[in-house]
Amino acid sequence: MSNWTDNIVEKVNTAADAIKNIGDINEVDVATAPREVVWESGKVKLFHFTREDKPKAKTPVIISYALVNRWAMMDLQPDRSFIRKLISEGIDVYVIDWGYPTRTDRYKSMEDYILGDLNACVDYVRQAHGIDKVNLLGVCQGGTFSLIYSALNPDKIKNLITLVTPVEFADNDGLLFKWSRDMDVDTMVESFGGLVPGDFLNFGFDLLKPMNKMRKYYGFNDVAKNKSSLMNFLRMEKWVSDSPAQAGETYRKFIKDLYQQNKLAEGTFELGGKTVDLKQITMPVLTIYAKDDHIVPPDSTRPINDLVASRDKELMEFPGGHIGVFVGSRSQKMLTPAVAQWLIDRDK
Amino acid sequence: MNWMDFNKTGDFWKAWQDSVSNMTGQTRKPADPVAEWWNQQERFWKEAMEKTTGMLGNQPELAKQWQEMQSAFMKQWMDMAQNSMKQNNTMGSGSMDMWKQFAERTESWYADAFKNKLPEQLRPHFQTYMDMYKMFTTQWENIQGMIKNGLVEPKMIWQMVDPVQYAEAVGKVMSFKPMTDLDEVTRQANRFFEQMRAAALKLFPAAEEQMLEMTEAYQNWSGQQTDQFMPFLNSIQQVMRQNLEPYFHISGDDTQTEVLRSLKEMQFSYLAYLHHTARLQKMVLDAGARVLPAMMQEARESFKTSHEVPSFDEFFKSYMDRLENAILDTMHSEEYTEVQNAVLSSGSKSKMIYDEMLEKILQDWPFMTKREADDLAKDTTELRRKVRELEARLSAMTTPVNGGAVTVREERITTPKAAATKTAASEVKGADRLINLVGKAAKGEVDDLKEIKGVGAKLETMLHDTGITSYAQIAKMNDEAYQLIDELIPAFKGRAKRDDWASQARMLIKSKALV
Repeated sequence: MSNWTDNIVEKVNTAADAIKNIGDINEVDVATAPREVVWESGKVKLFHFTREDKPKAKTPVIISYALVNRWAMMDLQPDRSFIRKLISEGIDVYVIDWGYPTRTDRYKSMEDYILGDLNACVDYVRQAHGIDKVNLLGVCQGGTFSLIYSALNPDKIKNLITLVTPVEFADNDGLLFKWSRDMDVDTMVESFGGLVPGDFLNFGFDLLKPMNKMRKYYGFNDVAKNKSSLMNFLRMEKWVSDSPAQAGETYRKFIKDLYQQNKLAEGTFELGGKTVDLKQITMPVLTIYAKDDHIVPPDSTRPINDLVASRDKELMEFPGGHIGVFVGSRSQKMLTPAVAQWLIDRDK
Repeated sequence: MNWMDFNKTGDFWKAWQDSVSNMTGQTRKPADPVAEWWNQQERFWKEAMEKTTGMLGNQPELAKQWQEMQSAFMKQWMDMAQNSMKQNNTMGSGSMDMWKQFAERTESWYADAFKNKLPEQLRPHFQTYMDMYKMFTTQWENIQGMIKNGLVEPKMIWQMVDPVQYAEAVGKVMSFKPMTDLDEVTRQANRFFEQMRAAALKLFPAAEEQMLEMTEAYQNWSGQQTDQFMPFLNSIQQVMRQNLEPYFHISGDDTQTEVLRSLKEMQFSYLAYLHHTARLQKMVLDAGARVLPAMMQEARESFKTSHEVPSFDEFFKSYMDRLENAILDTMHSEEYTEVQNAVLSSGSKSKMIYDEMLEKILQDWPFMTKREADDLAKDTTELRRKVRELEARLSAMTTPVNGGAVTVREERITTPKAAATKTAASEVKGADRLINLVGKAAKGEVDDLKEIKGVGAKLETMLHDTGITSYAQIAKMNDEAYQLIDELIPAFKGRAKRDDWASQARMLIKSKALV
């Protein structure tokens, strides 16, 4: 009798704690590191994170996140924050917030994002700090943007870091790559009214591991029993569901030129009337990929190291998945300090 | 107790403490304490959760207080329950089952509260998880029994586990809208399109009842309530027409024909969409349906030697992994990619035709249609690009090559005049060179340059300023001339060459001669 009464007591106590914890929640807060808007154009903003001490590296870093989901992933909560960690390791940090495109942005192209917004942010930081070159850190699709930008403007970039960034799109078995190859992207974008909904993008990512979106709820009672694990869980949920739509024109080019025709790796990608030659990238380059990334598999990331002409270049493998790069404890303890040190070493 | 009147958590707390005290035997000894607790607590938690969920939204402070009391009360009650059991050493008949059930239900007490804290888009996923979990918990005794007794043939399994419920659970993983009876769905869709066609035939000129008919047809088909937007629009249109005839002409016969054609096209692509979707769903569901029997057969094999069945947690977790792998295997096939592309393309096509049809129906209405908004968006983006180009040019004119912030400002202050003069001088020079190339226009020879594609009023004026006024001049333009124009009128850079002005001008000269 005592075994199952204990079991029941535990269950009921869990319920009591869970109910209290759940009732306590007023707001699920993410991206709380203090920051200010320093530049703004349309829906795009450039944030500068405030810091109390002098940075160890004189050259600040601009983070260019993907247009998919939001950069809040990099500052999910104070003790799991790529950005806070970079700051505490002595780096001056800016992040570009691409905003939430609406239908009026349907014709916003990769050219507008890269040669327009990204370039303006780079110029702003160069001017504000009185320097010729800045550090650029691109994440996923934002990394692809950063590569393109750095190839076209090598004179403005001091060091380039790409995180889980796809560049090689051919011969890949990943479902996203396979599906995109024959996708009628024009009709699709048109039927969406020129704006690809975030839900649609999320649905595509979900399909890559169809049970992930449910499996995480296994043991939700244990999660709810503990206030801080409950909040961590809900922060991640908030991030997952915060998915901006993507400007149709940009999506179209990204799928056609990259996923379907692999133009960037093959040296035929054009932007603003210029052919993008990754061999123009001669600044130090750090390529970080996640070993178990099922969204951007290592096969599509690692070739960056071969495609650039830099003499100082490095491949860094992270043991984990696409998201673990930003929120895992290994990210906090190992990866971020290594990134900061890499930048500090190349700040001369 | 009337819960609606209840506004002080303290009262509630006291009332319940009293009732529990009564039960614990201070005033009377219950015959079956566990059964009584069970009944009381089941009611207590159900009502408390309902009350709390409502309160959470309106009075967070009160709700918080409330939750704290619930939490404390629950723990206190458990202590009492344990003591009582020790004292009485009796369970009462059937109590064991009730306790088990009770323990299982504790999760469902707060599952809803938990769900409500999730972002709205994710709540269906949570529900899907709970449904699947529930399906397995309710079937668990059957599954165990079948494994123990070797009843693991698929036929037998689908006698015990409802195959339709199972397929629905698998389908939800993929966010499928279940389409189990394709024939019926097809019939419904066809009926819908027939009704739409009949309504459209009568729609022009529109009458309120026909519009309502369309709305009704849609409701019958989709099983959803549409909002009142269409009927509302229609009534406004009626009033407008009555008052403004004949000035306000509502869509004529041409529109009717076009709408009917669109309806037919949409019907075909929509049916294609339904059929591809059904095929896609079947591929996934078939893969999913093989998982449970396979797992049970394996469990049976291992039972033969170990005489143990897997624990529920082990089985359920492993089921989720196996189901995922089975679905992924299917998704990796060429056939799946092909069918999925067919779904996407027929679905998008239906949607596009639908949009075009609406565009036709709404073209005389006082709203900006999607296409018009689209044009606006295009122009806006184009203008932003132009502003960016101009800003870049401006800063190139004022920024020294390697300049920092400070030098820029100095430059701006000290040299605006010089820069302006310099620019003006180079313009004059460029304009001269251009005229040298294409010749001066004969006196008074001024053609309508706006006839050239890509030239608007503004660009025309700018061309006039450089001395270009005639088709004859433009017809003589070559690459060098285009380049000079780009330099002189940078805002329209590249346009002359891109639109091949010279050829256009030659065509215009010819057509002018014909007139």
